[in-house]
Amino acid sequence: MIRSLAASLGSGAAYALFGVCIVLVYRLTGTLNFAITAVGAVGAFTMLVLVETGTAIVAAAAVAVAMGAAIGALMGTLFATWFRDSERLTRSTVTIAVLLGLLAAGFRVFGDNPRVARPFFGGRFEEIAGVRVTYDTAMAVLVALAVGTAASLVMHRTRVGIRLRAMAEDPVTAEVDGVPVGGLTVAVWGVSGAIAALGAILVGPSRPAAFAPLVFLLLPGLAAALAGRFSRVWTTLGTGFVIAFLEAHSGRFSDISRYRGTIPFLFILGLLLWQRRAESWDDAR
Amino acid sequence: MTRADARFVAVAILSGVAISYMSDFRIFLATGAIITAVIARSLGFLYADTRMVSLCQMSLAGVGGWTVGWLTLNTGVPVEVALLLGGVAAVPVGVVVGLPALRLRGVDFAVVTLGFAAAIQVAVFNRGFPGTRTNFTVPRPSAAVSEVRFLWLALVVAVLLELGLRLLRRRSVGIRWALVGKSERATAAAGHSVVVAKLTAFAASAFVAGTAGGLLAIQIGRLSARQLEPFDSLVVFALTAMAGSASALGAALAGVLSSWMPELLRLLGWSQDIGPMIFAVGAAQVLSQGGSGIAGQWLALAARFGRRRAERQPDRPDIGHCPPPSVRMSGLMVEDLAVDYGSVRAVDGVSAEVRPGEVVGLIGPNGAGKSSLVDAVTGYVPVSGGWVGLGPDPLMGMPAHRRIRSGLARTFQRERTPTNLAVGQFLAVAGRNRTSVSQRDWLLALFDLPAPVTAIAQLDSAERRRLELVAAFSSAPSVALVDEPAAGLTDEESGRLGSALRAVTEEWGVGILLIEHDLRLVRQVCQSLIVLDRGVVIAAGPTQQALADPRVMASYLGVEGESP
Repeated sequence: MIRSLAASLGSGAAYALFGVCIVLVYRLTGTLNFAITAVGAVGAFTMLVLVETGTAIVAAAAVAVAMGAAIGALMGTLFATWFRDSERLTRSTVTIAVLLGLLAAGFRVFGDNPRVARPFFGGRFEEIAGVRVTYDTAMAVLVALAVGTAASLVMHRTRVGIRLRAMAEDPVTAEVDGVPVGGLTVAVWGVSGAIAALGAILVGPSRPAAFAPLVFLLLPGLAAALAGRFSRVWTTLGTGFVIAFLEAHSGRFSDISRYRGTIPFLFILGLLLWQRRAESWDDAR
Repeated sequence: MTRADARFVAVAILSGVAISYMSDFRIFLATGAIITAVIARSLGFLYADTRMVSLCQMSLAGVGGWTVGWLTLNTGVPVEVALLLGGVAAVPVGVVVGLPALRLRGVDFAVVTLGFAAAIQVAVFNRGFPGTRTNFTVPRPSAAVSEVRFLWLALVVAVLLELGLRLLRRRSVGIRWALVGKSERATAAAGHSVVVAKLTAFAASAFVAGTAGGLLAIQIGRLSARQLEPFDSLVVFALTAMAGSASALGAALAGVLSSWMPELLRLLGWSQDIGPMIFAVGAAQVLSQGGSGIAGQWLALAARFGRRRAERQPDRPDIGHCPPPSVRMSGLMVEDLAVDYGSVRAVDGVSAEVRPGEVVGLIGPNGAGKSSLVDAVTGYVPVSGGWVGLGPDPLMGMPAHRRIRSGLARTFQRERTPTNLAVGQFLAVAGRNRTSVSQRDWLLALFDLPAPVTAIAQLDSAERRRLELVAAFSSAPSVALVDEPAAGLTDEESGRLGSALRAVTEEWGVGILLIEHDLRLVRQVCQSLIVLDRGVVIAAGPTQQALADPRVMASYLGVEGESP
């Protein structure tokens, strides 16, 4: 049990970060971003390529995060320009197209073969209660917690947070009240791209990944965001770790281990059946 | 079969004949295009009608293909029958995936279906299709072994599926898909279950995709997991959005693009993986333009040449009388009803009665709880206390669509007519066969609306509001709850509306609960009034008497206000 927990922390941190990205963009700009892990994966693979060519790992990571931020901001610009007045469904559907485009571009640039990411701390670890916890894992958890804390602090303690929440409530009114909605939208997308790149980098050392499987970590991210009802950062973070734990723990039972890939889906299914058991209507009167 | 159907069949046959003269390799490609077109159609109508985004169509096709493989490998079922069963097998899968989405809309459905696509990939497809180990291939039907004959088989199946889909979309079950895509509230207000509408749409979509998957399995002998990855479902989705999701033409175009894009890229000497990127960009571009796709733009262009606004029936000086529907009318009883939104009590112990043939006005300032009362009576919001009944039958605990079926009808403050339908289609679904054609036409004439073939998209907003009233009355309700029908009308228009409302109550004996701010209309049609303020009834009784009540003048018109 403890061993599963320790083994799952790295993935959990990544799922948590992906989930938080989805929550931030959904809550603040009303778009369900299906392309978020693809943005992160482009960043992470850029880092792998840089490391292979001899760049220092920390510098490569910085480039990767900047890359994620840039692609995110680019998407934000796209949405702020062409899809400002589109309905939520249309905007979210466009991110599905972006997901497809980034997947195809990723195959083309990075190929289809799994790559192994080098750990940041050369595989160093501490033994805690007989369980190995690598420095990389510890860093991943700390980053996830730091991002969660920063997101909550910014949202509830700063001027930017107030503006963001005003924008989330009603972008048109916020703009009339002098909130720079266009700029903030781009910023939110950019920040989420950077966080996604972080998540994709941190999950790297804990499993060898090809481009597409890394992108499809979107599903545990979506499941986590769904658990947080696309608005609660801490619930989303926690659920990311829970899903990773369930995956790792099911891996210990050989009968069900080959079905572990279905866990995010089953989680989503169960969650939706529970959350939406009451009747609800599609829009206001 | 309509004329459009005949045209579709003719085009399909001509295309089939033209393709038959190509080389076997081209015919093989064309057959693949037809199969992709069918999958695109299964996804396109779901998106265009119900606004549900499905990202698992290739997985559903895989279920169909897997079933066909398993049946031909393990049983003596002829492959033609296996093909049909493949489509049938996909239906329960589609419904189970759809279940958690019943209370979800559009993009949430995409989350579930993407999850399903990934899950079935690892749990089923990656472990091999039936016969993978023994190198078994699905046999083609003995009558369709050659490429040309198999092309015709695929074409016939595709045409049959499309005709079936068209048939459904002309009938109530399919019209409800369009209605639920436009508004769930309006679907329930038409007396139909939102759940049934969505589930039948998923089932139809899964059947079409599953059958296409079976065709694919027969065409290439055995499916492999590589063709059915979630990525491929994404490609089909983008392709369909780009080509046009709403029509068979769009689906056909999606099929052609999927087959000929690799050829085109090869000719240009470009890499194959550019194809999906082109589709992604195309889909994003189409969505930024309103989402009708390439085919949608072609069809709009073609329609511009043939467009003629349906003629109004010539002058109707005397609309005349209309025999009432043979439905027993009962009165609406509301006793001590309460509605809470969190800690706010919106409706506080309201009692009311609307007898058949009577028009009761419900007035009060904004926020008085009028619309909340209507929502509570019709089952759109949960009540915290009280009783609602129609005649002797209690309505409590029933979902909205069943209350409507019991004899209520309602309209909304914000108009919710489905612009993707024709007037007659909408009325057929809303009327539920409770009124005759002549009764429907009488209602249309009474409310000065154009002929049933007119597209709702061609009506102006005032006409749409009146159409909503006609839809409500076309189910021959005992009591119609009508929310601000005169908002934004001129005095003259409002006067005509009043006469029409009076005519329906007098001729048919329908009772009306009328929410209205327009006091001229209220005085014209209401026999009695209920005045609400902050959720409480502050006056009730005959119209003149209630309006003269000092409390009404104080709260509703302001103390200094002119006498109403």
